[in-house]
Amino acid sequence: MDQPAESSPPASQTGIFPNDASEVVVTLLPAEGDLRFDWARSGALAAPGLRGRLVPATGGGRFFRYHAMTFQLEPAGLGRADHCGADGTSAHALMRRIRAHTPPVAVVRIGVLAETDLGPAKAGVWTRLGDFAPDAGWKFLGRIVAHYAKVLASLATSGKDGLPAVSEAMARRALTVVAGAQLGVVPPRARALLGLRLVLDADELLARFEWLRPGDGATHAVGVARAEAMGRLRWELAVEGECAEPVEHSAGNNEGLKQKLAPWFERFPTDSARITVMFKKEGAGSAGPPPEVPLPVADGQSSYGYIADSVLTMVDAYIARHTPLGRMRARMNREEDFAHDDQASRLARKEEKRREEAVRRRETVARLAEERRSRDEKLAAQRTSAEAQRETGTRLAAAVRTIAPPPRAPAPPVPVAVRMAPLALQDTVIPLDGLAGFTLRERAALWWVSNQSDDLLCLPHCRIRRLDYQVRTALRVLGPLRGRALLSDEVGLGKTIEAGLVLKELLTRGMAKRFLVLTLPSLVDQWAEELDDKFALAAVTTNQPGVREEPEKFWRENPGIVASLHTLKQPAHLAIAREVHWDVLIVDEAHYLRNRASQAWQAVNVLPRRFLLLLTATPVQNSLEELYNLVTLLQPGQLPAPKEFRARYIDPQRPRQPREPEELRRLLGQVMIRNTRANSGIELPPRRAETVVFAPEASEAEFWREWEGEFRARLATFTAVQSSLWGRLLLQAAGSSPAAWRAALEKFPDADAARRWRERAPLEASWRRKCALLLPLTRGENGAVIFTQFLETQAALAEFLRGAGAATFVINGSTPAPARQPITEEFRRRGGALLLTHSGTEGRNLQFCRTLANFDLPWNPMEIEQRIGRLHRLGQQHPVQICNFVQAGTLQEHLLDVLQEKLNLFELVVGETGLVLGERFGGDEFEEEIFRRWHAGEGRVAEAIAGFGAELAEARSRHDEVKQLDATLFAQDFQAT
Amino acid sequence: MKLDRLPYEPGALVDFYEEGLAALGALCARTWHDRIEIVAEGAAARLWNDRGALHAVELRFAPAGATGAHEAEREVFPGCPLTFRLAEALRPAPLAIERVVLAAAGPDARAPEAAVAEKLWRQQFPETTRWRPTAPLVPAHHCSLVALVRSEIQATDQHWSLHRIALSLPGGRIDDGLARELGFARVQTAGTASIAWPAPDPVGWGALLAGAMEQELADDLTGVRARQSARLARELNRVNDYFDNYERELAERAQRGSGAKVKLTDRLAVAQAERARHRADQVARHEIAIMPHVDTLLLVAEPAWRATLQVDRAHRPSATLTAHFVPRARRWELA
Repeated sequence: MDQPAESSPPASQTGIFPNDASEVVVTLLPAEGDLRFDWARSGALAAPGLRGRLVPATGGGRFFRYHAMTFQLEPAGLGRADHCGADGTSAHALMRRIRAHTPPVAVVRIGVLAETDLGPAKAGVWTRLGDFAPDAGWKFLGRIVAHYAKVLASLATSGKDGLPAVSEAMARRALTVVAGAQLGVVPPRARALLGLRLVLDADELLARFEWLRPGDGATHAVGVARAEAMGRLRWELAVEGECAEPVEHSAGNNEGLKQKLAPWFERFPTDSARITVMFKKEGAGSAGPPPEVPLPVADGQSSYGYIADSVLTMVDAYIARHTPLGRMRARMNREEDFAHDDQASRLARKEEKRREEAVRRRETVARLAEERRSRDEKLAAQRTSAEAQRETGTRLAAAVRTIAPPPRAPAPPVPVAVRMAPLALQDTVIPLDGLAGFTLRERAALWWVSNQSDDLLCLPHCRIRRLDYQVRTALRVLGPLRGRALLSDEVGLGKTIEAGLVLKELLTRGMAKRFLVLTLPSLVDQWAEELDDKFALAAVTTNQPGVREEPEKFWRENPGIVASLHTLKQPAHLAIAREVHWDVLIVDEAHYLRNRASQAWQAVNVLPRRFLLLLTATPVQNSLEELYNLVTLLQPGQLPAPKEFRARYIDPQRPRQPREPEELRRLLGQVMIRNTRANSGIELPPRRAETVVFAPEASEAEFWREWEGEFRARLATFTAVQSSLWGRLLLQAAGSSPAAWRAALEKFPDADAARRWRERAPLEASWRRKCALLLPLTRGENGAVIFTQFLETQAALAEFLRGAGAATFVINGSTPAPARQPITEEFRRRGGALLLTHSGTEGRNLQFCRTLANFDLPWNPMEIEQRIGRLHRLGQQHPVQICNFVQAGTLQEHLLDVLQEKLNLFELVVGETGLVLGERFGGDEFEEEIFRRWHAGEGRVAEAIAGFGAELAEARSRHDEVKQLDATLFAQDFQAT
Repeated sequence: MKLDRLPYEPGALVDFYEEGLAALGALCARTWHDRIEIVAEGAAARLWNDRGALHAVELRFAPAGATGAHEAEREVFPGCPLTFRLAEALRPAPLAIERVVLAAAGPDARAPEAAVAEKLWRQQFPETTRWRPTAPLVPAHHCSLVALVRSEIQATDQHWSLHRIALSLPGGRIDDGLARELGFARVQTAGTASIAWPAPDPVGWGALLAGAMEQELADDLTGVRARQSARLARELNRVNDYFDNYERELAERAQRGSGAKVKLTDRLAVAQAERARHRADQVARHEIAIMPHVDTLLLVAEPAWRATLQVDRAHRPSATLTAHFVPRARRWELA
């Protein structure tokens, strides 16, 4: 019988939770297959005092032969788990025990919280089934639980231990049926259950399974298990008239047989109430069809267990009838048979036990019958109304058309192509005088073939620091993931390197010829540079001239392309790009593809490709659907169809939290790799940012104030484009150096004003003071790398530093590429100052130096980040000191404040700034915004920029939140081990 | 004939490097059991620099199973680029047809007895009803084409193998016996001027080699094809499941509102086109490509006996044929 009361004291007496609960709220959660119990003070459900869950047990209990429900208080440890069996008595007993061991309540509220609409219960809305007085409520609950257990029993398959096994899907389905019954509707799942007509033919020794469609009762599938020689069974299956290849299988034992039957029952979910059987006796011949009767299973006995036993009996009968040993055994008396036939004796014992159990249950049922009858009378009125609703639901159900999947085309044969290059021969005349040359060439070819390795062949050709986790990632992408993967390493761990390794390996092995890298416009050049610098891969980019003029030539003739997503999206470009077959397609910053309806997603989706890599550190920002869209782009079907995915994995209340995390992890593990700082062992030394503010001479400060006012007025007379262009140029040049400002003024449209400003500007004294601040930095260990935006500033600075006796090295866009490395090496050897402009930084790895000076401040934080990234990268051994030079009271000073305080620019990992700024400030937009605010500020620059700071702070906090979410979601589960 | 791949064995590789580099004109000296010192210029130096400038280096051969980073310019290890480059440098470019004449097995080679020759003919051509030489057998040479072919099978992964293919000319019969025995054959250097070599036929030979490679790779392909078929079926099932469910969801959604029904047809059409596209993508992705790379071509002439024969065959008119009897193979080859 049922588990006796727990020996532990009632939870209400343990002091673990308050004992003043006045109600218990019981919620049926069909999407989870659970019943949730919340004890709370009346109306205080949001903060329940105690919580419990009733879930299907994962296996047979100690006390129950058949599968059971398990009740557990949360958090685990408040009390020992309690169980019940599959029959009604046991369910009621469990409810009584729960009631006794939890705080007394005045009201039992019972309701349904479904994820999809279920009759009157709307998705995500708690729908009341009723509020009851304690006695009636707990009894009503007992009935619900008993119903749940029975439905589960009808769906359960045979488990390993011979007991019915219940999957999560079955539990969800069963509870949906139960909740639907209470709500007066037949849930869609229940409508889909098939009927089964079983024929046990003792004459022909076969079992015929005929599954019947729920609506019209037409035959959906027919399976036949036919006993054959030597205890073998021949399994035949025809679905919708299409026959599958018969399978022969040794019946062996009960276990083997159940394994064989289980896939059929999984494939054709059957309503246990609609299983009928026809027993055709041996020698019945043409006596007409036997009567069709319900499956004669004892209360609590599994229908499928009965069927399996019947088939085994049939095999035994075959052996007894057709084999000499069987005939001999048939002649033996029962005792001898027992001695020889373990299988038969086991079955007999089992059957006897089953009968005893059924008798005991019947007694219990009889004892409680009276009680049940009175309860039924009380609820008669409710039931009548429920039945009326159910009837309505059935009519509705019939109206919904069942969509039968179209017949599937068989998988086509794998195409095989022989591609032999035409022979280009050079004839020789004189015959060889020996075969030594031939033999040597043969050995060479053999060593060539034997030298092919499972490791990365491309590594010797790459100029990268070999990091194990990156190599592992590349091998995993090329191996188990078969070239299609979502690379989601944390920022700064080198997703670009991993993608480059995969690309280079495929090219080295000749597995790929054409590749396309898609990224943001601001990262196009950086990608091309990285490919060239680290992987010796030449690629053309959409930033190069000729793309607009000759798009056909650009997309079709270049084997390697780095393109901006924005260019690809343009219809003229997309029309051509989608006709080219790309061997490798890499999409950087793939979180821009998170929206399936976006142009970017659609554009990438239509590109024909063989290998596909999606790179993003933040695959989920707002909802798991974003992740779904990325995975679907990679491998459609890896995750279920959209609606099913939402139903199974997304909690509408918390769209970022997966509902079945384990299952989702398993599916994602087949397409996703995520290395974290913790597993990679990558730890860079810290950075220290310092702001060097210098106050200009009073006359100079006065001049700048006046100039800004006049300049703003002049710009107001320009067109918007001109205003923005000249405004940004001159304001940035003014923050850089007098030389840069003067040079920029040369071409200013208002020549008179420009001349007047030039003549009036008293700038030289401050300039020299600013330069002098650099000298101590250049004398430090390893010198200092000094970045400037303008060539004129760089030249003037170089002149000053050389005049001051500092070793000075200059690289800019006009320095020939071959000369750059020797200059860098010389700086590394001698120290001093290395002056770089933006174009001079390309390909420079300066991690040997630890001091960086931003002599002027670009308005685009991404550019500042790139400067920092030259020094603060893998291989840097020391803390990096960053000195930012700004003039007090200028736009630059306010901007630096905002970048430092609100964006935390100097603390972000290199590569993270773009993620924080997002699409809103992806390209020139950041500079535009600064200029717009300066222009609109009418001299109140500080206030204008401060407002911008608040926006950045918000973006930063959003990014932190997303980062935290991704870390929680993916944890350490997707490492490339 | 498929040649077995060589296991990575530093000693054997040192020998190959010494011999190969010497053939390219480099000076090599073994300084230790796993090291050789090399002074190279020209073709040999191109292993290290494109210009072929003088290059001196001591090469170290890493032991088998050595892990960790390798110095690719001065170290030889499994998968190292130097081995690839050396093998490629030894490969004649462009592909040259070389010729070799094999010596007879013994000094007193004699023509086969007529009865024996006839019996062998009838074994080869069982439909022959009458066989009669119109003239005595005369010494001649029979030519075959021997090729070294690196075979690349690109499926989900890549498989390389090396094959020595011998084709009897002009018919193109695969002569595995010659491929096997070539390494042991003696070469005849004198009296080769009179041999009637077949004219080079790049197109015809290419086709013969491609056909021979298909046969040669049949066994390897069985496994690859089975794996690839299973993967393709799995992928297609996944695509089908996804679109079946998706289309059903669309249809169910359309049941709810009349407005949605209008769009249903369009959406279903889009979904079906997407399904077809993804199926085609998967089929293309699972294609098995066989790429034979011919490294060396050798025309082999071997001693044979030429005969002119009057032959009657079932259901065919009587014919006069010229054929070679090849003593090595004890076979007749039609000329």
